[in-house]
Amino acid sequence: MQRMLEFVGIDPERFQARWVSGSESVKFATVIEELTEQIRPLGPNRKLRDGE
Amino acid sequence: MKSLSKANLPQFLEALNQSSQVYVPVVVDGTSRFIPWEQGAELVLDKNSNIPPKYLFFPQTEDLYGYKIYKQSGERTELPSAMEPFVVFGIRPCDVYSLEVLDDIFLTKGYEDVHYKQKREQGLLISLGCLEPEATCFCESWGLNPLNAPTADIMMLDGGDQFLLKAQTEAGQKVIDSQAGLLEEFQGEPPVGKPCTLTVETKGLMERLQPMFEHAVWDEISRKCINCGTCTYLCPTCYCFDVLNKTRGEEGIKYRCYDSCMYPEYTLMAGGHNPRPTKKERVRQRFLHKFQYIPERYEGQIGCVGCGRCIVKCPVNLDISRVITRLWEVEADV
Amino acid sequence: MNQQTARMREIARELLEKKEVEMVIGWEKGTFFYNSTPVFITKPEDADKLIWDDYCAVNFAKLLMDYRYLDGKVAVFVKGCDARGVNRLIQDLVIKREKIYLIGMPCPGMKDAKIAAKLGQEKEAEVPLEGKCLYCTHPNPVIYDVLIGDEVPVEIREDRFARIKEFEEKSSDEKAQFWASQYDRCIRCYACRNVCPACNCRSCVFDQNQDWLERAVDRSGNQFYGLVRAFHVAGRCIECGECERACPMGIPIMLLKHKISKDINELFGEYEAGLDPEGDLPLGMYKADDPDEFM
Repeated sequence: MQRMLEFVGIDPERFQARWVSGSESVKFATVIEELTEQIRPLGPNRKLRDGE
Repeated sequence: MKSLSKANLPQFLEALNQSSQVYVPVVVDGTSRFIPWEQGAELVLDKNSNIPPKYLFFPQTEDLYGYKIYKQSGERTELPSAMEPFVVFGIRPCDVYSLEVLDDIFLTKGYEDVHYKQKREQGLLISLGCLEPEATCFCESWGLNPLNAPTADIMMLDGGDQFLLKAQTEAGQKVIDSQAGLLEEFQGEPPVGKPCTLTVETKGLMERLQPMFEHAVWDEISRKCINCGTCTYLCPTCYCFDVLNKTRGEEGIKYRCYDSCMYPEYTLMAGGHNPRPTKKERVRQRFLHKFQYIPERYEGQIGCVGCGRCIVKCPVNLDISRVITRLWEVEADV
Repeated sequence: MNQQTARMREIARELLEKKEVEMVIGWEKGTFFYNSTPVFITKPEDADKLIWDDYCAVNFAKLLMDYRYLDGKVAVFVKGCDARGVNRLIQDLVIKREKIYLIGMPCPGMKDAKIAAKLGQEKEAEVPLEGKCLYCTHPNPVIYDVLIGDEVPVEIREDRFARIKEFEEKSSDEKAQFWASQYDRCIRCYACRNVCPACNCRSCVFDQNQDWLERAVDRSGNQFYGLVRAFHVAGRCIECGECERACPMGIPIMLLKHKISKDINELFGEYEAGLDPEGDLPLGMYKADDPDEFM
């Protein structure tokens, strides 16, 4: 899935797959925070949207 | 008859573009369609466009109105619909005639489709006659003339290094008068066109089909159809549409989009009943609609204009002209 | 009339006369020289309609789906790609092997009908092969009851992953731009889905009354449709190329499909779908050593 989205032009950092169990709440929170910080500087996504 | 030298065509289009958006047939990524004209556009004028210009009058997706929902109550909002005048340059007589068929469908029998009507009133048609119909064209079999579209505002013919123009309506005459500087009087003989090579017998087809609803020939014809819908999307007289919602939270838009009788869901009803469950019923519907129902309902109006686009693009070569021939061949009451 | 055509008619006639099959599906001549269109023969005398020429590109696997509930058997002519399509249907439990009789046709490659239409009959010799035939890896049918003619040598004319590698070099923005302009042309006719042997769901996700995707034809909806369909057939796509051939707008659908095949090869090991009706599907089977980059 990741490779495919890269293939159609989505920046690879925007889509990341991680494995977190429902009971690993701390890990879940950490992963989300980490990802948010990674994506924030990339700015809003303009691709795959309706044409202007 | 006036003549416009081909070298002056960009100027002509530029001048028209000042007051109305001009649409011209151009190849976009391998497919030809009508798009807004721009300086330097390369026009496709040797054959008909892949996509018929009907979408300029009846778009594939069209917003009808907006709405807001607050818990149990709702409110409707009109969407701004500014329709500017526009010009369609290079539309072929078959496609011009298809607009007359759509006029019958959208504007008569008690209900006027406001969206279609607005566009029709604002569109000016400059039609280009076909001197050499393609191998898949058979407009003449339906009584149409590839060299003349009687309801176009201006009729044009390709005279080699010039275009010959003739105004056929007041609006057309206004355009010609306004561009008098670029045009000259034409004295010679207009070019002679070649006839269609593909011909089918269409006289009496409606009457012949009337008792053939349950005929076994429909099984035979429909077998290879894959119900993909390509024919209906490229057909200039097809008009089936679906009305749907696009809701985002508390607001939404009601829109209509093309639908196709080739799809099983087209006639799927709430409750699950489907009067056209298999492709035999759907293929039969397509042909009977074009050859029987439209002439019956609209006093002899034709449902097919012979543009041939379905013949060119059908992935399994389900050829409408061969279907017509087959319908004549079989014995009527089997 | 070439040798294969004569043999095709002979076999079809025999099968129908002996009532071994109820119907034979093959190709007959269409309207123009570049059309060869499906024909469904139920009477032995009609067997003379069958032909074999350079334009028999249509894949019958999907049409077989309509006849799976017939009492008798159905005979069908299969080229290399068609045979894989039939395997796809067998593997997906859509049709039963016992209900079909396969007549194999080793295929030298079919010519491109769209280009032939443009060039006309006089320039017929210049017509190139169909895009899908250039990267064919199995021109000889992998499953058949009887074979007509000799097997053709396998000639990989174009590496199907070469285009993909080239495309991957582009920048993210260029890729997005490319796909946006391609799918802007999509008219959502669903021809690609309807011709695909791997798209054999009884109830397709895109027919669910806008539950998953709106019917409006806009850029985001079209791209969503194209990508989702590529994923739904991932690992099951037999790369027959019918989707690209059927597309009226000429969208390069096979680019997406080959990309997924390449990814599956890299992640799950070399795999080609539709070669063996009994085999395991890479995405349908769990193995302990499946890649898990996301752990």
